[in-house]
Amino acid sequence: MASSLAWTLTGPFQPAARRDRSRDARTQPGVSSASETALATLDERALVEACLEGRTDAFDVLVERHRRAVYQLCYRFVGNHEDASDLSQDVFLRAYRGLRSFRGHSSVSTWLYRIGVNVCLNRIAAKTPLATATEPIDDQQFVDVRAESATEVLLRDERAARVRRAIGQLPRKQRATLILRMYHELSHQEIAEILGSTVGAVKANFFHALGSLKKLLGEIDAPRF
Amino acid sequence: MHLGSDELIDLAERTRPESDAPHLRTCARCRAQVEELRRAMTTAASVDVPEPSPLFWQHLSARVHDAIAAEGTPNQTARGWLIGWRMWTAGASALIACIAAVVLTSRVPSEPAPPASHLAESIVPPDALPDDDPALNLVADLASTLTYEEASELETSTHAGSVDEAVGGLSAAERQELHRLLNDALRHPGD
Repeated sequence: MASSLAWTLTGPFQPAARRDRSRDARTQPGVSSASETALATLDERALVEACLEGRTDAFDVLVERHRRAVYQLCYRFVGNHEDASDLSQDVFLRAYRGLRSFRGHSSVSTWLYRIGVNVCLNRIAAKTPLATATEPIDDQQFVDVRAESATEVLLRDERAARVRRAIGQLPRKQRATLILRMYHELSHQEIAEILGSTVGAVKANFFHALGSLKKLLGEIDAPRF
Repeated sequence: MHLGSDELIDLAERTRPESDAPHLRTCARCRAQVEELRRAMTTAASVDVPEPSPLFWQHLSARVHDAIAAEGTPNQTARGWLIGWRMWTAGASALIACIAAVVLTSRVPSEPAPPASHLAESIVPPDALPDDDPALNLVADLASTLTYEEASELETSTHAGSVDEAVGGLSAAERQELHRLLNDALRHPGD
């Protein structure tokens, strides 16, 4: 399913998480000893077991593998770097505290997404709506603009800010569904597990999320297929 | 009959070929919906997360590392919780048993009450209890360094019915003293 979505959304619109996941997968922790090298080669279940045996360096490896996806998930919910950074730390801390409850029925990434969605939804329920919390365009960091003119950059940033604000106004489950599906390539089944829902409900939420997004943005002027 | 939201999503994501939905060929409304969904997906997908500083990732890892270093291992955390839970359970069951015993003995006298003078004779004053018994002192010394887990391994922890057994093993004088202490505690709950 993800591959078909990838087919649909190619080129410059390819979801960032998809590109970045492979980048982080290639990134190995800064190995300085044979022990750390051995940890870096372990699969995730073995890393979890090592953590439970008291090896906190095994958790460092898990953090290194998943920090980008967790940060991006948090950023999608809160729309600014500071909160996303704090929430990412919170997600990993909660995961660490709950390691014993990880049964391995799902992947570590799905489990982290579940924790992340809960942490983020709790945060946005307690804080200012995203519409007013989104980072100003000028504060966005390290976007590669070398190939774009200043006008193009400005237009693209304005458009991105509009879309983020619109996503921030979606109801919680619709927002979570859209973020997990569009930006993290999760299948409907995985999203259903994360949200404690059914595949049918996930598809319905996604359908309504896209419809609401269209209404919030007005007439969408994206290129037609 | 128009297509449902799950069918429209499958078609928009191309996980279901349009040839599987003959309705689409004849219904302009459903075709338009599929196109709108695709446009909305393209618009949403065009928004990237700004890439933070390259140093940020190491900084995040270091923050998490420091935070979990302060937490202890997950095993320790879970064991502490488990021990706490078991101690609370044991304590709560002992308290409930004691209160039940007090209520039953004060409301349902099984025998006629003995004369007051006879009762007074049967009560052993607290200061007459053997507080310098070397066997008790030895037990107290050992118990003072015993952890809850060690005690559990020695099967000295409470279990269902253990309070009844303990009370049943008391002498008459010890029961009277327990009764007096419990009544004192109930009369002065804030002490």
